[in-house]
Amino acid sequence: MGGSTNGATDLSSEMEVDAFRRLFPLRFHERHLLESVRPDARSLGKARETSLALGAVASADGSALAKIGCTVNPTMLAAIKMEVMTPAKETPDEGCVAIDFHMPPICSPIVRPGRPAEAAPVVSKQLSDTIISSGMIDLKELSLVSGKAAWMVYLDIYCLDADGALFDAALLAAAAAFSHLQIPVVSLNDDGRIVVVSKENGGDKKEKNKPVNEEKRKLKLKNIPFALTCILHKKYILADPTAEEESIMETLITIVLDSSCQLVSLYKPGGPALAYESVVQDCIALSRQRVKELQKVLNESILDMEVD
Amino acid sequence: MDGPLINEDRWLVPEAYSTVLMAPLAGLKVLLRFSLITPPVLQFSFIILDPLLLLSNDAFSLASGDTKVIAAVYGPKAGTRKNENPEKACIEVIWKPKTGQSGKSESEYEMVLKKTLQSICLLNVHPNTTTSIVIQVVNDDGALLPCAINAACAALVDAGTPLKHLAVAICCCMAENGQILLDPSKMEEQKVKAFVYLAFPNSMVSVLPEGGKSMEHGILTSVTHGVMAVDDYFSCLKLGRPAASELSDFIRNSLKSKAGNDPSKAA
Repeated sequence: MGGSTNGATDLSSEMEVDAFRRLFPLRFHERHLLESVRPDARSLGKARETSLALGAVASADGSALAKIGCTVNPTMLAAIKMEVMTPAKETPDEGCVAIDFHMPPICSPIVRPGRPAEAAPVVSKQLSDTIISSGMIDLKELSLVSGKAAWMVYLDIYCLDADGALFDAALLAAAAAFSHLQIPVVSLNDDGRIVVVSKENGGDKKEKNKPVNEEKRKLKLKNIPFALTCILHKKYILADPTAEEESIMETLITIVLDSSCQLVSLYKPGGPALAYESVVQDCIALSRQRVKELQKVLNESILDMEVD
Repeated sequence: MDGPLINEDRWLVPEAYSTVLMAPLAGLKVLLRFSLITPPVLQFSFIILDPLLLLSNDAFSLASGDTKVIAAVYGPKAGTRKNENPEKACIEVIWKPKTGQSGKSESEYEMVLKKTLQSICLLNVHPNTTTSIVIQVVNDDGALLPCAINAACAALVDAGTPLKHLAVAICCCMAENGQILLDPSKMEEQKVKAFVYLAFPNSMVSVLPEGGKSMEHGILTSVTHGVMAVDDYFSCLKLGRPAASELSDFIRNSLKSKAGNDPSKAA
């Protein structure tokens, strides 16, 4: 006892771990980093276990649940609804994708009821920028009748449990929902309007009106983007941070690579630590690994889906 | 290539204004004008004036082809918002678009700018206070965010907010043929394959050529749009850095000449 003169460093041996974690969160994490381990027993460059389940929402045209981490709850729910619209004059043979990200109060203690979360519109904008600029979806595939009808795709992503790296999980859920998407069959009726052929009376209608898009029931996804968020703290790089780590060590860098390892986005909004070129290289190497992991997870979940 | 259209000296704040505005920590307005294109040479002009002057003076018609932003700093005011650390100063950014209501892209800009400024401000100096930075977009002709970062920095200096160092931001874009352009116009921004907004720290050392891993080699903020090869990003970085240091010299000189003309800061 008598030897503990220089503050928290020595207190750590006398205090309960939980108390130390609350009182000196940064020290607590730095002590772990010294040993190249994190409080949840991961090594620094390792991302959390990730799982995907396709077809979580029966009423949607395509949906997916993505879960990063070992929490009981799934973290992101993505669902797609499609509607027929008249395409814009400038792009007569292209459809449209509208992406929205929701953070309901249940997802995190930081989000309060009645007040929209600050992060939600930012993630939402980032998602639509990434998905549209990555060229994952060919908007021309969403066209039904040139200049007359095209698909409007509404993609809504709900965050059910915010535990760090929101954007990574949301992007994975979005990509999975798109790969699960089954485009409804539509046909032209006698008035020249597009109507959805419902499953029950699909048989009768087929005789009268030929479906417009019988072959095009699936979107061809190319260059699917995958994201990895890292924390930069001193000389350490922590991949896939939890919410606690994000709140304590503030410098985040999000790297999005597509399946052919092209850079889709490198996003670092400020933060006390600077990203030197070597650090960026290291982060990109980590994301390359992560892309492979996530691609495997996505392919497996698609295979599971087909078996069912 | 457009040279600077306006003689800088004409646009310095008149003395009557400046004494009011230069009062420490009062609302200060800084307008930053960019007219720089054609790789890899940068050309810019930087004007500090009161926005009222801008509105009242026809001579300053908004030349198309330029990005203009007005940054105003108010604070520090007492108290912080909820969810903010009361032991530190809080930075609040309000982004006003040129027309219409603010939407998602404005809140993204607000967030990026807020985090960038947070990392250059000395937040421990005024704990439990809020400093508001209002960004009014006057004209968007590409590289809007870098322009806003530079303007906000200059405004913070003008307001006397304690800073660790300055930040200097630029925009690089990758053309289809692999050519890298600096500071694209809006049209170029839409046509190119990808573009990168980069902000670097800008401390006094940046003026001197320094080898090794100096601070200026670190990226403060990076926002990219569009798909590019990883190597292309690094070549943008390579080209961006000297451009940023050139811009930094310019900003420092402008701030210096401004401080020299200002009686309240002459001491």
